[in-house]
Amino acid sequence: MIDWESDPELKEMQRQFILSLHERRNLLATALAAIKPAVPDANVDEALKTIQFVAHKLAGAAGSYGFGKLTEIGGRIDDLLDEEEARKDLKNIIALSSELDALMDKVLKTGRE
Amino acid sequence: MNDQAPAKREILLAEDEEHIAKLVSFKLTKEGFSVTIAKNGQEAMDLMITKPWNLIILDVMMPYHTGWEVLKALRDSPVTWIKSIPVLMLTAKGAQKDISNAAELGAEQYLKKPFDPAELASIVRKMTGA
Repeated sequence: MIDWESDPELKEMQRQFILSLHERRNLLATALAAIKPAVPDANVDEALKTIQFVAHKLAGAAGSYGFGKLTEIGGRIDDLLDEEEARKDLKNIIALSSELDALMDKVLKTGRE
Repeated sequence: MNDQAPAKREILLAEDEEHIAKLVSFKLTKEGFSVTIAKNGQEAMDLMITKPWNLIILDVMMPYHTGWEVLKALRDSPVTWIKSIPVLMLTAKGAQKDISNAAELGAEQYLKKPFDPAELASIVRKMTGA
């Protein structure tokens, strides 16, 4: 895999990817807030689409930038949301999404998983 | 003696995730390819017919048109040079049904994200004869 320290341009690209986690966390937080049981008239389908969008994009990109755990959890959420039955298990989706969010927070703070 | 440098192999990369697009472009440019980025499925549709690309790299989950739709439009083209452009699918979707779908629609190669840029470059070199 890539030696991120070998090229300043590569290192900067990795730094920019890490910074992109801020926006991904914001999107995820908004979607998660919308599917909490206490939210009346929540547009659950739209929120799940957003969660899957964030998870899918992370599954593809994070591992390519050296963050395999983000890819692994993102991929699990993406796969889960492809299944009609699993989409109904909001508790599980919220738990996995929270795990993903915590890991993004860690990467933002430390640069590592 | 012909002292002209050989023309760079031209690649169209359809990818809406900007960090993946940057990484692919960085690696392939270093390898001597010329990379043009389409940021969504519509841009890919518009650009794919503009020149005989040596290769098109397609993401699947993109706004406006999915990579599947772009691939189908390419292969359904009545223009021979357009429909025969080689395609590499580069996607986080890795289920067997996705791989089969890519083959059925006419993609020559499939690489799952996350990817190793060195492996990507190796596949691209082989597909373009570089």
